[in-house]
Amino acid sequence: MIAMPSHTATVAMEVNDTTVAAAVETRTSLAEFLRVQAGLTGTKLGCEHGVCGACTVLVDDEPTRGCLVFAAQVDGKKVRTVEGLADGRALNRLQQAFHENFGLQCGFCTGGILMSMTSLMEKEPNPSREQIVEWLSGHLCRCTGYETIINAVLAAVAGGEDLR
Amino acid sequence: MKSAPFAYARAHSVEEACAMLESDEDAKIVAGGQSLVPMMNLRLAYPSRLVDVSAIPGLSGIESGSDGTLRIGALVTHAQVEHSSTVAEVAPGLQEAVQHIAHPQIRSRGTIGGSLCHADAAAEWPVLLLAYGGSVTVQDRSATRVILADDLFQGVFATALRPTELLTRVDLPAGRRLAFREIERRMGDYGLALVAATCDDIEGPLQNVRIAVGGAVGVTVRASAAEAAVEGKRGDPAVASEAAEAAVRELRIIGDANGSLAYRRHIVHGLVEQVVLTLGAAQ
Amino acid sequence: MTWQTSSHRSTPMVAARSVGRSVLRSEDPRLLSGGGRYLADLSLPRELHAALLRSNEAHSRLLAVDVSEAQALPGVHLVWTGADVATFCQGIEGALAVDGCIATVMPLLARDTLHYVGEPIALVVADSRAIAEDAMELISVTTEPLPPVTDPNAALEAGSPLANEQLAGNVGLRGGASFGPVDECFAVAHRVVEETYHTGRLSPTPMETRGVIASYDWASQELKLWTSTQMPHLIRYFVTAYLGIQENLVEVLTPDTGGGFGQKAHLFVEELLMPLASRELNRPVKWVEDRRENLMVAGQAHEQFITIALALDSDNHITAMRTRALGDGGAFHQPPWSMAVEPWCAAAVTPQGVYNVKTLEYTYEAAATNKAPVGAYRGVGYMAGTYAREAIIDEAARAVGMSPFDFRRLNVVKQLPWVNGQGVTYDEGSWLESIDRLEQMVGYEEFRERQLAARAEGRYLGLGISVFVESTGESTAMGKAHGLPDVYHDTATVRMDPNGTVTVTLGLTTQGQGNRTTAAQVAADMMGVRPEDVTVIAGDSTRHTYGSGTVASRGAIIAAGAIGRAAGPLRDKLLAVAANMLEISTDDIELADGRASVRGDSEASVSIADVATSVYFDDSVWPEGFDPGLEATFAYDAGRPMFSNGAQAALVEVDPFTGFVTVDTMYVIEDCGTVINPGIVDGQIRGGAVQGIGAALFEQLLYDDAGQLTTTTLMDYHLPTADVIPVFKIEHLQTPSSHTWNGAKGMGESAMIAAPAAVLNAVNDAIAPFGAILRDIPITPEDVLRAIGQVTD
Repeated sequence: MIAMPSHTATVAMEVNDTTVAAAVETRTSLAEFLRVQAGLTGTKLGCEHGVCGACTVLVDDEPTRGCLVFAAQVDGKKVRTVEGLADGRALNRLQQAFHENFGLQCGFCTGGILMSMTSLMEKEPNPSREQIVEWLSGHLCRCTGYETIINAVLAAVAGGEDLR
Repeated sequence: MKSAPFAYARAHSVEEACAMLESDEDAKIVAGGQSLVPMMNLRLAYPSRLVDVSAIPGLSGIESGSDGTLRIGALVTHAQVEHSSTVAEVAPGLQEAVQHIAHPQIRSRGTIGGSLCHADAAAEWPVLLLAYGGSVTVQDRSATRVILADDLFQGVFATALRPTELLTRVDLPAGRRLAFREIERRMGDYGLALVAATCDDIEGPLQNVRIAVGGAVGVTVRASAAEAAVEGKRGDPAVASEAAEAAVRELRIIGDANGSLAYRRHIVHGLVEQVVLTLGAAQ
Repeated sequence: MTWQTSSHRSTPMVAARSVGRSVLRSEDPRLLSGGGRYLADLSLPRELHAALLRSNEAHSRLLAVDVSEAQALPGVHLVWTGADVATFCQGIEGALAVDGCIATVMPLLARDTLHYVGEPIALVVADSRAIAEDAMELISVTTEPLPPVTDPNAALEAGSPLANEQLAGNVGLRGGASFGPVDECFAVAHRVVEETYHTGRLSPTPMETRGVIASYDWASQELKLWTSTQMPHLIRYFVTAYLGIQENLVEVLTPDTGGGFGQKAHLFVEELLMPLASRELNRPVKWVEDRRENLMVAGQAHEQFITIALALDSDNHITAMRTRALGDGGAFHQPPWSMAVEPWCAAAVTPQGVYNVKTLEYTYEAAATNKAPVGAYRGVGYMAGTYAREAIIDEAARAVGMSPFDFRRLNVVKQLPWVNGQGVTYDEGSWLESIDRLEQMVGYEEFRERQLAARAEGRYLGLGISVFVESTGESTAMGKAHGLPDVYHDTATVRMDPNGTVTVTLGLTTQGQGNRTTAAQVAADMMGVRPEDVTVIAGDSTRHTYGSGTVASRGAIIAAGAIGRAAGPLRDKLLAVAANMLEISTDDIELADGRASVRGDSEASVSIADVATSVYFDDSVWPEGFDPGLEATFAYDAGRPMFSNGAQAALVEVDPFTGFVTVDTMYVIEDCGTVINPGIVDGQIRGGAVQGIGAALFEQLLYDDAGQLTTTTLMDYHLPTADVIPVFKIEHLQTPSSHTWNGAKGMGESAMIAAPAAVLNAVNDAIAPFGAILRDIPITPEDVLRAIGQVTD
């Protein structure tokens, strides 16, 4: 069966353990879906062509540019965003390390970076500085000059495997 | 920066995907979408419909055949190649090359099939496939055929696939020794030039040498004269230099804002030299 | 009236408990958990979305714009062209109030001529941004080509076509001055060194693009305008002036802002167009700039050609200098900074930097070109001026066979105060010391040995230095000192609650600098409480205190001054009431650590919370005639410029095969007086230096000969990434200013000012064995290889 062309799609995904379902235009990006339909604006759009990394979220645990995937492509998948990192009581250890190391200034790029670094630490609990730099090179930060971000991740890594 | 409207459908089989392509000549296949979606957002591409093939079963494995041939499903992501123990075993050096593809956040989603079909001359997979002398399997509703790497890249962003065909598998031959070099200004950037070379992984002089060049050319190509300069010889500095000279003579090197023709020629020259020396060093 | 300036400067004896510590930023937990609310994150009921159709031609006669198909597209609510909006506003005037600046008027939407790629032609308002973009593709524009003016040098030649019919001879700015016997000095000079340097066209590229939401309510006639700006009060003033809306009915709101760097310190046409559209449609209208627009039109910056000539005597002293700064101005003046600020500042403010040159002349020019307007970007004028000066200082040192440290040491001003040729008094700093200290820090002699050893292995290391002085804390007096008659002042309200916590309201906005934290530190020390006890509201609405904008390295100085002045009377009340409670003289009481304590008696104290409670509720301890309440509002205008200074060295390696330059280490000596928060200050240094490395090696907006911008994505405009940053070694020399509230001087721009010259000089040091020298930035890999003869056509 071939579906008739339609410019809308009904999309349901699990976002930070909550199901979010909505009918959206097919051209709605995952980032826009998260920001509008899920009401989670921590995922930022900085370039909409996949370079800056501010929109990075985890889709089925894989780091993904929220601007380079349409919400319809993520139907039925699990998405994690920056809003899901803390438990609603305190920052998790990675976030706390950014705080303690001055790893952010304006904060616009920070959510995407936190999600990438979360993914890195899930895949490689003890990443080297070189690995951190490689993963961080997929993000643009205009404020910090990156060094304090690298230091923050190294500090979080030094604190052990459990990020909570 | 929003895409123009399009219809979207998820295909559940190769046949279904091909039927969708047949019914709409402006439809485009999307798997990872890491090259297509930016073009749509920038309104440089206007597909009428996206045929999402990412859920089609059977296109996502990495296997090595009994003869050692590496068979990579079209939907395998760059990251899966990068971390595959099978790849590490049968294609030494390939994973280091794959790490040059964009960033981890792109490699997690971009696929080998998508990259080859996009046929960007600045991309890594076309150069690697061509250097290996591999092939791709493509299917439409009625037939399956194999396209050799040498026949795949037909022009700027153009391949030998017919509009109704879907690339399903990539085969890389066994027993090849790989040398890969890419020059990128920042990590993850498009290469200013990239060169891959392979030869039979045997003792002695270099046999069945293949050298492919991307990044400084409009279409990913082999440097045949450079290959001829190396074939049957040792990869020593004199041979490497001769191969490099041959490569810059034979190739239609192009420049852009990130490096003129003269600069690119210099880089290609150096990289060809380096890959030949690398092949030679493993003799 | 006797409003003496001293009242803006006299500082009480405050126990520094918080100032000087790396207090963690109060902004962070919210931003780290996705709770930041930036402009695009706001949505209003019934909001509509705007997009702007922009010119894809550099210079054309605009013959017709047909919007009928776009208007007919379902979901489209409004399509306006230049003629439609001209009935409301003829355009925005731009000029800088310096000698020789010729004003332009920029239409909100193009009228009969297109002047640059990206110039807005039509405004579309629709149900969604995507539909607005669909509609834009349906607008048909008919043009007739005009010759594009793309080279600022050629633009000023006789007979050049005009880039903008409003600027005769393409001159947007032309002026100059001469001090002392310049010609004589050059005539008798033992040696003259003269060169021209070019700084490339940059985009500040804050990670958050610009954006505006306007909501006009016809019934109350009130306009709410959310905008991602560094200067909300100025925006409100302009909006009321240009649109004829009463100022008391306009509220400008600045939500969290994702970086500014000067780009967001301008008035842009979108800030006028959205209110007009909202008033027309009776609905909120939201415009969020996309990255392509941001790179195309949002305040391009820093491009100059600077020619410097130095006259040297036989002892290698610089006896005189000539500077000519030419800015590539783009097609219009973008208010308020305009195309004038960049060359004017580079040439006129401190062309001599830290060097003892009183005989000098300068000319400054801005040429109109068919490119997007330029504006302010971190280190405006200073970066290019410092770049050219520090580059030619190196060339002069090389010409006379001296080390770059020795030549600078020979010529640096050694005795402060010093009055420069222009008559500006420089009274505080560590100019010589910064050079000496930097030399020790880099281990210069040892580096030269390493460099030789590396060369023997075919590796090319280079060390380059750059020394700067910067006039900070933009104020009325600072502007006047340098010849810019603008007026700046900022207001703070400080309130202590009955339980001893403090709320500070500032007119200064924040774009990520951590102003809320540093302001809390200043207020905490003034009031004797912890920074956690202080909430800072930083410029989020013009309903609060007035501000002149977070620009020009002024935030720390101005915030401290305004908070200090407003907190002073509160402090006096606390001391007076505490004195009664402790039955001792106010002179013997110290406010610190949350307590009012008797000096020298650790036992006798009362908590500040208790004192505050008593101020509100216990009249038995009030002094006679006590004025109750703990709230005060004061304005502050620094009485004179405050000069930060410092020096940087870049250690680079040049790859002779690829031409890539790797910056291994940046050595930074910074003297910004009292360091309020080392974590924040060092963050400004690293971030600024990496922007400087971007300017030196990576970033450039490129126009082709037809005036087409070819770098409209972040794939083409190359920002520094984490893999290309250096290791930082930072040291502070602290010469506290006697003119500021707590001794702090401005520093937000300094690293960006100094870094590019350090990198250039380092590259030139590295490639010196080839007899090569480079003078333009960004230094591309190809530039390097051509210079050293590895690449030829």
